[in-house]
Amino acid sequence: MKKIVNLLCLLLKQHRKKLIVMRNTFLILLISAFQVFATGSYAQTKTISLAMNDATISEVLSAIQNQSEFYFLYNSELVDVTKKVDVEIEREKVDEILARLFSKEEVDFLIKDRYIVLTPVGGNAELFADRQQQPAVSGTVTDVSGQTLPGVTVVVKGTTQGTITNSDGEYSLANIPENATLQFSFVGMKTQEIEVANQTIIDVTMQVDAIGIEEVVAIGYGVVKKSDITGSVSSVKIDELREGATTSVDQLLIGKSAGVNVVENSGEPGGGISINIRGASSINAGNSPLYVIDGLPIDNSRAVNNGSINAFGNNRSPRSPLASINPSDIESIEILKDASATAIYGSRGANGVILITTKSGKNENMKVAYQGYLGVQNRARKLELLNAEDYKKVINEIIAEGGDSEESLVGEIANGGKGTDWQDELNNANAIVHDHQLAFSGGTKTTSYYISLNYMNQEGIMKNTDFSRYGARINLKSELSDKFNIGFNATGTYTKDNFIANGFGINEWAGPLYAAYNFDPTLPVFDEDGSYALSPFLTVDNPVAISEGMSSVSNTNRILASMYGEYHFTPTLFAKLNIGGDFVNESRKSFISSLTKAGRNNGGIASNQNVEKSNYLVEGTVHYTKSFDIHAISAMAGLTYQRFITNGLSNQASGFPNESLEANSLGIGDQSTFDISNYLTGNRLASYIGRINYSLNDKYLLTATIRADGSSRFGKNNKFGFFPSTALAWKISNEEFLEGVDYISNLKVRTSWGQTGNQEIGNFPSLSTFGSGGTAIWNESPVTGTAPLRIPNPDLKWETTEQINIGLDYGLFNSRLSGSVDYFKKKTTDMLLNLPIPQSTGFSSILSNVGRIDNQGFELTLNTVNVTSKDFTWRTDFTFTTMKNEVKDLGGIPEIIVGAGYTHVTQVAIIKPGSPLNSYYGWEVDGIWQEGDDFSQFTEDYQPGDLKYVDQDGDKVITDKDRVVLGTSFPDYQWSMGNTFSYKDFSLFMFIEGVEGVDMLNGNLIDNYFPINFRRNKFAEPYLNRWTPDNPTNEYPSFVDPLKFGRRVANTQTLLDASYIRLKTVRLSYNLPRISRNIESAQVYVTGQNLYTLTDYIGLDPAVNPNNNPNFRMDFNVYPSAKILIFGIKVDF
Amino acid sequence: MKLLYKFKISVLTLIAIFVLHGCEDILEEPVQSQFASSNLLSTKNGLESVLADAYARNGNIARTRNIVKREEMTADILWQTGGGENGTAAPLIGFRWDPSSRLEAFCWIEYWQMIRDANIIIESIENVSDFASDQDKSQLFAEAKFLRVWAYYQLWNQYGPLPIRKSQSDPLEIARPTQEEFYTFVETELLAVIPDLPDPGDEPAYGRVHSGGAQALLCKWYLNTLQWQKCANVAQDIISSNEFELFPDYYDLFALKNEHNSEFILVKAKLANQGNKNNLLATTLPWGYKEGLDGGLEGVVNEKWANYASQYRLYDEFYYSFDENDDRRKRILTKYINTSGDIVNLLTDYSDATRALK
Repeated sequence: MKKIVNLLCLLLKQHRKKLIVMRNTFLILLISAFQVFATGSYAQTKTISLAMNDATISEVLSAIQNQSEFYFLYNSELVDVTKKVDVEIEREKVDEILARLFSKEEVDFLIKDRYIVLTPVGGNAELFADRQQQPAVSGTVTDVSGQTLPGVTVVVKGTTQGTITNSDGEYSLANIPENATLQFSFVGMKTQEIEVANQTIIDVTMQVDAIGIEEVVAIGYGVVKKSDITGSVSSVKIDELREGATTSVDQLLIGKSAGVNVVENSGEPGGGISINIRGASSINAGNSPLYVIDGLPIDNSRAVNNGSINAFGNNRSPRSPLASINPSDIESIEILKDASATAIYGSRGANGVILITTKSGKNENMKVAYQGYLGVQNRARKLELLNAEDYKKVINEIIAEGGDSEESLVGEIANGGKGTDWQDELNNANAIVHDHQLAFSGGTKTTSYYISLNYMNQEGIMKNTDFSRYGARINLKSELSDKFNIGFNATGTYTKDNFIANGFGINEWAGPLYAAYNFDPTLPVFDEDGSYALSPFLTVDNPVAISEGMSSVSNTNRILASMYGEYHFTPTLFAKLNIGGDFVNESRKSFISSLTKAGRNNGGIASNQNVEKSNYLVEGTVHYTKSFDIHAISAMAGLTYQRFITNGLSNQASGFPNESLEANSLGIGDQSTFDISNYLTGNRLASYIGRINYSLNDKYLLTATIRADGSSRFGKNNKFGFFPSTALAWKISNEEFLEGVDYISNLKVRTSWGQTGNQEIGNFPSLSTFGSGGTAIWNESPVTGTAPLRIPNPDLKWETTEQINIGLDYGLFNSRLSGSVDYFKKKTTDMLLNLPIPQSTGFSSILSNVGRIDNQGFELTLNTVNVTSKDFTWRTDFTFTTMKNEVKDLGGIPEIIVGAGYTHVTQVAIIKPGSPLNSYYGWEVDGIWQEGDDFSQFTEDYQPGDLKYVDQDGDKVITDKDRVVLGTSFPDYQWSMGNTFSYKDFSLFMFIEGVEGVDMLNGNLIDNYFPINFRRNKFAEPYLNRWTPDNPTNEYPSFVDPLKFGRRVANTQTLLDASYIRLKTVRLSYNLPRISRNIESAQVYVTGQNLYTLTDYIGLDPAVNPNNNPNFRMDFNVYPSAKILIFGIKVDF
Repeated sequence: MKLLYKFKISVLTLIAIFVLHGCEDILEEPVQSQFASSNLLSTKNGLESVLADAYARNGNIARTRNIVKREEMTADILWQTGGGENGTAAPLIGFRWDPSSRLEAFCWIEYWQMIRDANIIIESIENVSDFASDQDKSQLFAEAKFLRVWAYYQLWNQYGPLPIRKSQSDPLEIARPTQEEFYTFVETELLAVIPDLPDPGDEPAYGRVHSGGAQALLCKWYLNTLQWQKCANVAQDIISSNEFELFPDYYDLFALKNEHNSEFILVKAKLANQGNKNNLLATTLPWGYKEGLDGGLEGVVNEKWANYASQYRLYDEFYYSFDENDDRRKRILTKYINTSGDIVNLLTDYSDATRALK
């Protein structure tokens, strides 16, 4: 009786499984503890085969554990496991095996899902019967929800005397010494100690260990226990039951994480997403985070950004490059936010880092899982334009008021007076989306695998658009020996995109949406002769002709693979070699046929674009981990080298004798129209990295990292940059003085400082090079010239962002209330800025390291378990972010006026010290000039019905000097709230997202206030309620002579409040009862996505910004967002 | 254990690469689809390609329309209606522009790029060894200098004297010269290049300048700076050279078949359907233009030309300022057949709506 009670220790010692497995154990136990489950479902189906001779029972049990998910809990003092047996088992269930191992008289076993408790027959009392003279204690152990807990270890502290609870959570211990203290322990629960004193019945409620026993989180170049994180890292849980139609992993991040601003760029299938983490620190070097997939930093840009011909070339928001990574393969996403977390990525860390980890197999028998969904999509909103009748009325009234000549009068309306709703003509109602994934995972004792196949297809809600993906993945891990591990992750995908032209092109250079908003609604789709109807007043082509006559298809192949080898010199020291590569090839073919005006005029226009983007990585690291006394140290140092190469080719031709070959035979076009261009470019990074984590007494944590980054992009005088960081954390909840404080389960204060960089400035900004220039006409022939591409800057170096972060992680009331709070301040200096210089140099700007921009903000995450009972739970996940961006210095330049960058819309924003980046800049409108107003206060000839601009400087004339900052793209605050209600096998998830105090410039509305052509269609609201002598409104002008004072495109009428609250997801799921022994579990669900939006924004969607830049929002011809209903199923075999 | 051995070797190799070679070397990314300046600027062909860029900037697509806009809409010749361009043309016509107006008409960077390109050639010419002869070299040198002063002339025409930039290494900010300095610069430069430029007809390609072109610019310079005697002298030199004469028929001068003629001294060559085309047509063809009835467009049918909402229109007063028999008036379009088959008379159906193409 003097030996150690070694229940859990035995487990841990014998099975040195990976931490991640332990996490699963924890989950399994939680499931068994909290949920209603079909008793023994796993045990009833799981079969085991064994052949062992002369083995102890203990060895047999561990063999079973290795083959299955079963865990045995027993006291080796009470259950004899040393007995030698011979076993020959062929596909038997665990209860049958146990029945053979133990005689019924000696050992009882209880199977609770995957977890099996062995107790001696007759309970413990009998065994201790001879010592009954001492007091005995008994009781029941339960969890917080009142469920009994079997298998809890109960030990008299300081002795080896103890037992475990039986299947009903009951225990009894006899022969308790005086002044004894009982210790209750259980995996995943907090150990409790209770003094016996005079009690004979002690019931105990075990509490979940808030930190989670060994939950690990990926950080750069390693993993760390969640409880030991010192930096600011958000983990995003990937739910296998979809929250909507998901083509790419970045869509999963919308609203999910505080401090991470995720903005959609387009509603199209596979549409692009822009992410800014903690504000915007750069004007010209980009603000997108670095993406790292399974340890491989990728170049997250689309190979072919947009088409090369006509309207296809004006798209600013390429579809998401991440659509070629199957989201169903992703296990977890970690977002590194503060400098302590990102500095290890050095010159690419300033905008935050998104770490994506794909799934891996477990050391168990093969599992097969199918998941899929089918959905129906419909447009969430359409623009309220004038219908044919109103159009005729309004246009003719404006003509009557002198707005245009009689020639422009609107005549008869086609289609029997109904005209055409051009948006409806392009709408693809009930568009289908479906996604299927089949995954195989499992392994042996030393090798595990995860293999998946995926197919997805999403039609767009605009005709002639879709996205489809065929993907496969294989992830392997193997322990070749106890010292040598290897791993291999690879995915190959083929994706196909069908595009329509939507973008910032205008007039005949525009796509179908622009045409639909502008084309005459009184015309029919087809003329009497069957050709597409055209307006003699408009250069804009027929919208349906554009939709049907312009095609653009992309075929993309991607292989992303990485492998590593790990050699363990000693248990504390290992070296790792990591090699990876990402190869993307996109081929895009576009064709404009004679159905369109442009196609007819040119005899068909065709283009082929082919871009290969690749990068490879070679990396060696050494890792050291050691614990002694109260100290724990882990350290990592290494070298990493990565090279990026892009190889592109673009050809165009037009004038085809016959259009049936479309873009597949450019050579037969008119030779004089051939246009060829290609390029080959690249960059390299070579770096040294290092990190040390030190923990004192599991209370005080220190992390220090450094990266020395060399980049080919920078000037020869500044090739290397150093990026240090350090962080301190204090686990207050581990302090003795908080031990008695029941309501605090976890409390940790974090603080960090560090420097990171940004190098996204193109490949050769420090060199003087020449590229193709203009074309001279010599001897009646075109001669292509060459021109210098830039003023070189040999001193060019990184943009440096210095960031401090103060954070608090908390868990209160048994972690019913948990989360974190962070405050950060980022200061970016040596900003990479295209510094304007006198144009007399022949250049407009020189890329320089000047100026400063600051970001600071506050982030809150709050997770609460509001109700938890046997059948019903309700939990809430809440995030809140508020942030301030301020340009501090522009290297001596007072301001930079920013244009919208498309024809007729210029000068809409400003960058100047004291204001947020890209603040909207223009004129304030203070109502409408009315009859009887005192017009003499202005020198300009204003008429009643004109916009009344505010004369800020009081000089009686409206000029550029009357412009003021009108608004900003940075929201005042953003929040999200997810609620999950579970009742028995039903679960309801609702996700609401809110963005407050953000502005967006609407280009389509600009076209209403400053029309390009009088006879175009207009928005209904302003034109139906326009100023007339009979309707002296102060809201909308008369639109009679809208361009007479030029185009003041940025003003308070065209800049709209894009705040919104959106019910983004409602999902109802149900765990099916077990209907077949071959099906382990099955779930069905229905999800509604983008169901309701509360907003004042009058464009299509306040959340979508086709300008592809979250800190410069401009809505123009945006691809509409869909309202989606999906039906999904997930089955595990 | 061979695998293990290989693994260790790989790690060691990697470390060796870093340590032995140093990271600087492996950071050298070759420039593969752009020319390194040292490479391009060491051959005659390289310099000529930079020269081609300078010519291209001079004849840039936007220039044609902008020159017309800038010089005629601010005068009593031309105005504009319709289209988005109306928003920028209105301040121009009304003399009411400020820094918030985008005025394409005043875009000047292409001239500065010409000057930049010329300076690159001038400064690199000493490094080029593959000239056929000294004359070959001095000819290119003179051509580059001519393009530079031509650009300055065009800038001066709009803005007056502007900073004289003779080298790529000049400071970013340079002060404006005095009028005298600028006048001296233009005159000296032109006088210096005339002897080195090829004689008319000997220029390497039609579209490149010859000595006659430089003389013509000098003549114009003297004329516009009121240096009458000098102007007359240069004009006489040109006449005496017998290389040029007035084309006998003004109306036919603009016909396609007469594109090369003895009256053209200094040309900006363009080509349909190329980058350097003439894009004045799209804003000049009147509404729904199908077939012209006068103004030199008789029988000219529009099959595929773009016809913008933005319309450049002549004032009737300007039209009538020409005598009825004036050949120049005959080049103005007043009548055409539109796409509906109706005859449109721009003088009676509209006001201030006639069109000038050439």
